[in-house]
Amino acid sequence: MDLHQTLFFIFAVLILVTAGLVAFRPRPIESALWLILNFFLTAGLYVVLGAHFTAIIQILVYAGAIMVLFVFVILLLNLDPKELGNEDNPSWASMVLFVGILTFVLVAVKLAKPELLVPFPALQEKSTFGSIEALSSDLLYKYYWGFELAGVILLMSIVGVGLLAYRKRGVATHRGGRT
Amino acid sequence: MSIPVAYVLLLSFGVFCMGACGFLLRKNALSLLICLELMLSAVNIAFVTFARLHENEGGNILYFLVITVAACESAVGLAILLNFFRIKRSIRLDDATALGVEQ
Repeated sequence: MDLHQTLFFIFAVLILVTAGLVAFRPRPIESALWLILNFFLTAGLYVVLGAHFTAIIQILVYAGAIMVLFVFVILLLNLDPKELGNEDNPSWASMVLFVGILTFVLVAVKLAKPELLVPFPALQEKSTFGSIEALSSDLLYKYYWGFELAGVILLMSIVGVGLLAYRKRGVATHRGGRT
Repeated sequence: MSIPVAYVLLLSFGVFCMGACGFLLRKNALSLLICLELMLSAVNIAFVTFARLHENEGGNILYFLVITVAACESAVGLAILLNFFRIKRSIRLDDATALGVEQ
C-alpha cells in the first residue's frame, strides 16, 4: 500500500462521513460548516489525483466564496428553531436501501466493466496534466464557447439577483405579503 | 498510483447519494440548497477522475463550468430564499403553497 493509496482511502472515508453529516445534521449552520470541511477534503482528493490547479480553485471559489455566501445568508436570516421547522429523523429503511444500492453498483461494475477496476495508468513522460498552462490553453483555444457561455450565465444570474433584490415601494408582491 | 478508477467513481456516487437523500428528506430550504451544492461537488469528483484517466483537460474545464453554475445557482437560490423569508417569515418548504391547493 503506497502513499497515494493510503491518502486516497483516508480522504474517501472522511469525505463520505462529512457528506453524511452535511446531509443529516438538523441545523443549517452545522450543515454549512461540515460542507466547508468536505470541500477542503475534496481538494485534498484532487491533489491525490494530480489536478493541482483544480484543487486550489476548489478551496478558493467553493469553500471561499460560495460557502461564505451561505454562511452570510444564515447569519442574515437568524432563524430560531420554530421557523426552521421540525426535522423528521431519516428512516433506517432508506439508509439500508442506500447502502444496498451502493453495494449493488459495486458488484455491477465488477461484473460489467472490469477494466474500470484497474488502477489509474501512470502519467506519461513530461505530462502537463493539472498545470495552469495546459488548462488555460485548452480553456481559451479549444473550449472558448464554454468560457463565453459561463460569462453569459454569470451575467444572467447577476441580472436575476438584481431583479429579485429590487422592489417597488408600496406594491404588494404576494397575497398576504408585506412590502 | 494504484487506486482503481471505480473506487473514485464510487466515492463520487456515494457523496451524490448522500446529497440526494438529504435533498429529499430535509424540510427547510437552506439545507436543500446546501445538499444541492454537495451533489454538484460529487459530480465534480467524477469529472476530475475522468480527466485524470484520459489525461485530458476537458474534465477540468467542465469542472470550471460546473462551479460557475453552482455559484449562479446558489446566488439566485439564496435571493429567492430571502424573498420567501420576507413574505412568509419562515423557510419551511411546507409553507410554500402559493401554487398549490389552499389548506
